[in-house]
Amino acid sequence: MVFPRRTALNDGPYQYNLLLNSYRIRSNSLDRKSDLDNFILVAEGDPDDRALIRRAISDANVTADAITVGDGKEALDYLFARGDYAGRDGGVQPRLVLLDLALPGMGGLEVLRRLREDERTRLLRVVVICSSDQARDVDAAYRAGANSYVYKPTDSARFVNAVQLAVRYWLTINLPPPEGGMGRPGRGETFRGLWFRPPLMHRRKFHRTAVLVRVIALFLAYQLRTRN
Amino acid sequence: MGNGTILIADDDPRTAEMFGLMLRANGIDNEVVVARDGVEALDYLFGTDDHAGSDASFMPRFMLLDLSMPRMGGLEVLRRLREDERTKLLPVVVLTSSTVPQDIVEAYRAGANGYVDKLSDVPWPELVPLIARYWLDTNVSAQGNHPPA
Repeated sequence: MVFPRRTALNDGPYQYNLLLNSYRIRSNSLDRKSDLDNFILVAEGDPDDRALIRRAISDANVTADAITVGDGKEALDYLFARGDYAGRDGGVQPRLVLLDLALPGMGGLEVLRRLREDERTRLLRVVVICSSDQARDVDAAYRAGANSYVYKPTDSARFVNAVQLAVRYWLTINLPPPEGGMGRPGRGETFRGLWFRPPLMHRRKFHRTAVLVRVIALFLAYQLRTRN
Repeated sequence: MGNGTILIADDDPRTAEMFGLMLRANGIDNEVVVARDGVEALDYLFGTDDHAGSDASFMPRFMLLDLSMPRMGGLEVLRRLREDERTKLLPVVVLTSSTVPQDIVEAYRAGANGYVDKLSDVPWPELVPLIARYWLDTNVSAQGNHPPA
């Protein structure tokens, strides 16, 4: 009779801490490739500005990646995991949405209203980006539920600075709503107490590995048993 | 930028003191108004009681709000601000030492624009200028930047 060995993952608190630490060290290195649930959604109609925002985010010294969409419908499809993005895990939401008001097709305001109507995205942090700083546009954006409004100046260097500051503020010091995995705080970025440290086993990737290891172990045990 | 008032509602005098100190150290000379509790903050914003006669159409650029205060807590203040047309769009950042998920969700639901942990990993000399630069320079406030004509 052969029993499967206990795997490292359920080997008590010591192993757990060891793993958590190695995980933290890795997550703190800035050249780390970020995971799929650590990203910023950029909805921007203009391809040049899109590239500019992408560059600003990659230079902003945060671990999050930028995922870009070009119009309002695509943004909603992405966030609600439908249409072209039906295969995406809808429970994983971006840590920040940068939303251009002047999106082709469905405008940014309409997108924002629909996000605020839906329970899944109601608390998502949305920063509106717009090339107008008219009181009318600003008011409308706040009324629709924007967390913040960033003016897009024509000077691209200033715009890059603004985006970088915004990304740094929202990802490093502003706490996200902790609900249902929505916009989790960055690894090693804002964690302090236990409240915000996601238990390792809840991490999808680790969980998957643990389950896989168990299945293989059970399979091997079964094989050996039947062979004898 | 230099123009625009920052309103801090916090019963702990050290918060506003430190915040002001860090601002000056970073060359940000915006006026800082301190309210010791929720009622005082509302009085200041609506020009009532102690602040009767002051110009209520004048709004701070943004507001830092503590959640646990005597007389009226931060969440209640936030709800009242969002009910009133004058302060509905005022950017409010919750600055508190609570990181209980329920508090964060409640604050966002009540209409907070942001939520910052006072005891965050980021030290205060970095935290304060980042908050101030973001909400003063980068963010465009609905009111304050554009006072109603």
